[in-house]
Amino acid sequence: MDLHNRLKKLNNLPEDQAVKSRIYERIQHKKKKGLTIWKEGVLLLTMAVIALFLILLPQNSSLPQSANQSIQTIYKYFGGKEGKFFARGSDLYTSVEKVNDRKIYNFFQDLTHYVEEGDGRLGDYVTDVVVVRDHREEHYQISDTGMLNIDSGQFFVGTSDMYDEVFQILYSVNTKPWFLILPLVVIIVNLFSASYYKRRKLDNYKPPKPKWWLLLLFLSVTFGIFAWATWVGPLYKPLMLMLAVFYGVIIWYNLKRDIQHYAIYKVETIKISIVTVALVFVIMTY
Amino acid sequence: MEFDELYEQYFQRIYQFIYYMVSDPSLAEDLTQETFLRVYKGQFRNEAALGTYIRKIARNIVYDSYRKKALIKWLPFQRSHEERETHYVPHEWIIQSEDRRLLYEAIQLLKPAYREVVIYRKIEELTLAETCEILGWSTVKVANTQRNALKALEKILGGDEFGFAQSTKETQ
Repeated sequence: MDLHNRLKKLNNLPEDQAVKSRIYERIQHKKKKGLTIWKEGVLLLTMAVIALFLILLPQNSSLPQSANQSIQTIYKYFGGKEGKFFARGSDLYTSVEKVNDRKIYNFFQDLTHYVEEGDGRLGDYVTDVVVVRDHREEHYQISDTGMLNIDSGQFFVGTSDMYDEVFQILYSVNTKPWFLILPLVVIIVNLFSASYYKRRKLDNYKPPKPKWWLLLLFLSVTFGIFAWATWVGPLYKPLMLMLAVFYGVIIWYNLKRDIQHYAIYKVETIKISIVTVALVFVIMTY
Repeated sequence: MEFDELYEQYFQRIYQFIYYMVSDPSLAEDLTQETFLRVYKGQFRNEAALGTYIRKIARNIVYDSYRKKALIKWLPFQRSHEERETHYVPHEWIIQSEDRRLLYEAIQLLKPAYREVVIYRKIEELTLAETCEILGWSTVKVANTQRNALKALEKILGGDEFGFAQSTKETQ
């Protein structure tokens, strides 16, 4: 008998009914336990717990700068508008910066030396300031013509050179060009993946396009973020980080279910990871 | 197709393939279970034949287990009870016939790529197109691997006394 016929006979391995029913029962048991979603559930729960932890984290945790100084920290938000106060008492918010200049601390230590109460309006150039004094927040808007105590509604007119100097320091822009890294990273990873697919002749197995509901979700979240930043105030960075990671996970999870080639799955996973890390970096530095 | 119907139809073929690939009844049982669980969880989109789809999953799971085994060898600080050794246990049906036993043991000595091509093409007698789809290979690659696998099998079995020349002629 030739090898061909002998090999064919190996196709008659008898069916083991005990093994068959044992496996079937175990599958039924796991189906009932909802095995399909437990991993994803644990992942989302972990993310939610971390988000909650970060949200509940005390925000004014900075220590007094010296034993006899009552101002703990000063934060500023560049480019405020009269009637809208955007600064927050924490640098965990986007565009809110901690002020480190000694002159500013001296100025707010005793305002009466440098400003006088009076009537007037804020000028066109406004910076929002939060002074954390004795662990309580005081809110000011300082402009080229005078400053406003948001809490009491008192308006002060700057009467000294010190006032002008303080305004110039607070109204200075600290440029952060790091956000440019994001489009750059997206372009680079896409170029690399395209050339890899071409080299490996994987062009025919292009990764599936994002689903319409995913695009809708992304656009709504992006619109919500911009709307919040424009009309409500600065964005809370930990929440933004959670959204960035969550978005990365959703995209990856959808690709994972649709991709049919292991090499594409690996490349797309690396791409999503790099873009998410870049997004996290931009949010942290913004 | 309902899961029960699908399980009934494909269980034996999948179990047999995995068993021939890993040669360990307990591991074959676990991997078969994993295969059908993935079939249950996955979304079959009618892009391939259902049989091809399930076989692809089974093949991926077998290769995952090979990779895991290779990785575990390199893991330090592993406790002895955590090590999973594969036990070569031929099926009772196989040892009932000396001819089957010899052939089965020879197949186990082939490298995995050769072994799976022999299983698909010569044992299960799948068509070239089906094999190409499962493996994701070109027709030429499957044909070449098949020829080399049969040559290697002949060498292990000792010469051409089993009609290898005729067998390869058929494949070409």
